[in-house]
Amino acid sequence: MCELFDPIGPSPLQDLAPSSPTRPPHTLHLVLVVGNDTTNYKNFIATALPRNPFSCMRPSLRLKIGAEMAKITYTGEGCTGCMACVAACMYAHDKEFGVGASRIWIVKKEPITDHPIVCVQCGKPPCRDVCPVGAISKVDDLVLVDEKLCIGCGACVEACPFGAITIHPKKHVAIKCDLCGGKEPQCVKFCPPKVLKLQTPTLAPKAKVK
Amino acid sequence: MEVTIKIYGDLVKKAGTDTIRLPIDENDTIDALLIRLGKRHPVLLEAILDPTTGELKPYFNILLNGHQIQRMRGIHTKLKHKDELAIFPPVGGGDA
Amino acid sequence: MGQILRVDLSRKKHHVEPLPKDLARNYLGGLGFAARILFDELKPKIDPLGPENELVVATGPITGTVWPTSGRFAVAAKSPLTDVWGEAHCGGFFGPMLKFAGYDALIIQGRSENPVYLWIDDASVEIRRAKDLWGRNTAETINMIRDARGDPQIEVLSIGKAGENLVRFACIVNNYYDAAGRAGLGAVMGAKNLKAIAVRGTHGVKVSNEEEFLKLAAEGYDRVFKEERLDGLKYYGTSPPLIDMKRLVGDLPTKNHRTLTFKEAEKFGCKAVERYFVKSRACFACPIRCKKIHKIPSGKEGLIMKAPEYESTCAFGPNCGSNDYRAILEANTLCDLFGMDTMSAGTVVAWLMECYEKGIVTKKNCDGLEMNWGNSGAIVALMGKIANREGIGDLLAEGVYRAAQKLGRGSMKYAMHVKKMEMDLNDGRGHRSLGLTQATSPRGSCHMRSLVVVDQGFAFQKVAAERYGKDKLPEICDPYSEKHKGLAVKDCEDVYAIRDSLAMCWYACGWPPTFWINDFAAAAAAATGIKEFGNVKEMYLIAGRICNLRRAFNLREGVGANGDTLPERILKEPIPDGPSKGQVVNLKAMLRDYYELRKWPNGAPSRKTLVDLGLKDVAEELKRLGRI
Repeated sequence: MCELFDPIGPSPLQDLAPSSPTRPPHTLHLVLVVGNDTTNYKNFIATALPRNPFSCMRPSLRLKIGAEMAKITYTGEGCTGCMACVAACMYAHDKEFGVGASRIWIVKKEPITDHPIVCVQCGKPPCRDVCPVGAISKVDDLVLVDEKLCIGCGACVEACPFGAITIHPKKHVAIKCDLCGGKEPQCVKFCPPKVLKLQTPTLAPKAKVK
Repeated sequence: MEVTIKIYGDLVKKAGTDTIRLPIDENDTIDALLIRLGKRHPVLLEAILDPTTGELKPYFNILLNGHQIQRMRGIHTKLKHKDELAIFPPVGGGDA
Repeated sequence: MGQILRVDLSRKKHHVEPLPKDLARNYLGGLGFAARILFDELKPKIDPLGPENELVVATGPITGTVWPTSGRFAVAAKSPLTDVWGEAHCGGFFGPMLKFAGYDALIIQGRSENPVYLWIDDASVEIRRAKDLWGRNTAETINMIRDARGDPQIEVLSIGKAGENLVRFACIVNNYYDAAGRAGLGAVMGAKNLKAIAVRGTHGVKVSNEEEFLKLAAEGYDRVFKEERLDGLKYYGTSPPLIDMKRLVGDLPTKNHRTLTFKEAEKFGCKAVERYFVKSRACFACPIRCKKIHKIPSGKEGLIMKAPEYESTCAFGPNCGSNDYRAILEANTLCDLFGMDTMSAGTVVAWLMECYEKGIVTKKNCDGLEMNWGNSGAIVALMGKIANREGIGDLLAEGVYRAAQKLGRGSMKYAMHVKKMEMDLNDGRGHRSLGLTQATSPRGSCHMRSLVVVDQGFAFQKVAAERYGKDKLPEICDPYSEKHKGLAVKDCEDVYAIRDSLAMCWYACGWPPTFWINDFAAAAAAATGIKEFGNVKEMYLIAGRICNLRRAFNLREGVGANGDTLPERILKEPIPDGPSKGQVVNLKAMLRDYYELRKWPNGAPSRKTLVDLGLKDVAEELKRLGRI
């Protein structure tokens, strides 16, 4: 797997995320800036989210690695911060619309940045590595949490460089993107500007090689 | 004799410009002008005219010197030298 | 859900009440709840800035779901600007978060001795000291509350300096620039010493008929996604397409409504502002994403600000004779930060400019500002003065009616208001039905309560024919005809009352009618499980109930047909130039039709009208007070 996915320590986002692991973030409002530079937001993505594969990877690299697994991807621009994905995700799993227990969330930096955060289905998931009860595993390239085993300790929340895994406020177990069970991911379905996409694995390159 | 047609909204992309000047003859009407327009800007015309009826698509506005053409004789309204037409796509007719 | 949070700031107490089934069944939500609660709980003739006034914040049954454009809420109280019914509606994210915390509505009563803010965290509710927040602008308040609570996800409804200083048209802001803008509700909060309402919720909103609701919601998103006719809003925002159109057809209020054409308005049209576009942003779950962020050249780095909406652009631009886009952005941003209504602020400045032109005020009166038409520097400078009630700002902060009363010297002639509410940036002389809308709107001059689009141009003949009948053409589509406008206005007023109760956004049903009352009915029925809501007739009944309740509220305050007027300028001064040259508004003819359709003889509902709507108690109270 590409080393870009290896964690190098706690994400700067952790400092900004709520201290209590039972409060899953759905937005992160950073400083209101009136009159700043548009280039700042690109820098923000590159520096504040150093391990974000959505924007700091070269397109060709992204394609090569991405072709090996299914995950939700963000096109890199166009998110309007509407949070339809957040509400749709919570509904898909808990049958109620809300933002408190969603597996996708939005980073917002006023006045112009809106950026979705969702599990990238790491090849070497740090969440799996730190889980003390082995509740996290990779199944068919999908990183999954076994809610029956999970004790809600929050070690995975600390370990994830993206902040993509959180603790459900009522069920007290770790929750993360599960591609809606492999059916139609609801965040993709409801995203109005259509900037969230489901990247599906393709066997074509391998077949060609054969 | 010529008239000026101003294009608004995202129709500008289809026309490739926001101002079109076309010559007219004595007693030319708006529909004759649209035919001439169609020859030079077929994409634009396709966007605003219904191909089956040959009529302006619903919700598109044509203004002649600021007035709705339907308050005159619609596309049979006569034109004169230096008239200014405006073609409007449907806009959010409401206000915030 | 099904809960109302009631907070008494005088006693520093709060309690949670179950949402009365009757209220939900008969008033739907949002605006409906606010109308019924305030009619029941407020006595007539109270001081809007006193402790007896109540502020109601109400969401609707679909707020917080992924129904497109549903992330809205209503705010209402007795208005300190108009002394009658005051309502305002708002997008952003506060409404959904209130629902997620478990509350359908919030009622704020009394008055706190010291500045406080309300902190709602699911079931936990606290009234906390706001000493450090008082004096801060709305953006700072939002950020400080988030920092203080250590939680960046909190949604905050805040007032700024304007609300604290009881500027009569102060507003309430959430999400930095989403405002419950008009009627001075920010001053009601300021008078209660309530700086902000902060909320966060981890619960969810359930819907009754899940499959149906989700299917309709997904289909609704698809509709908006495919709707080409919303492209103007999606790409340019609310202002540039309207500026272009209104400028051309002669419907753009200019220089305090002296005329309706302003050539330089091209500077605010689609072509001109395209170059400033940085990105689009949206309210909760909204697919239209009409908010734009603009970057204008300034110094080395440029200046980034949220682009103004149409009303704000016109208020600080053409209506003040100004062609300065940067000044509009600045004035708009200042209004967001100070928590002030842009439309009222712009109109009161335009009034001052006209008074200056006519020699009624001098440069000295205006603190050394030269109030010439188009002096954009003065417009921006006045925003701070008004919010802080400094110098001439103290007079302007009273609103154009009271300011003109105080100033005298014939200045009332130039005060553009209806029922003391500054005029919205529309004019019946260029768009006839709008004159009727402004005259009859319960909160004073306002276009949103019954804005009719079918007569904004002949492009809408098909819709007009479908909705009102072919026989109403061509007059109903004629922007200069009074005929059939009573019908169109009454119908839109009903439909929008439902829209504001659900609560949904104007852009969902304004133009084009992506959703109309049949869609509202389907959404309401699927969300609540109340089958009757699915019947459009029932929706119209509820709408009639709400509209009559607002009317009754105003009648109780002594305002009825006597308030259904327009400024002299609109009724008597013909437009001097442009496509609308020569136009005036014949209000009487339209009012007559409207009253007839509403069944309001002489502008007041008959007893039968009220009883038929299930408002017998209202009829009795009005009878007792001699209003009917």
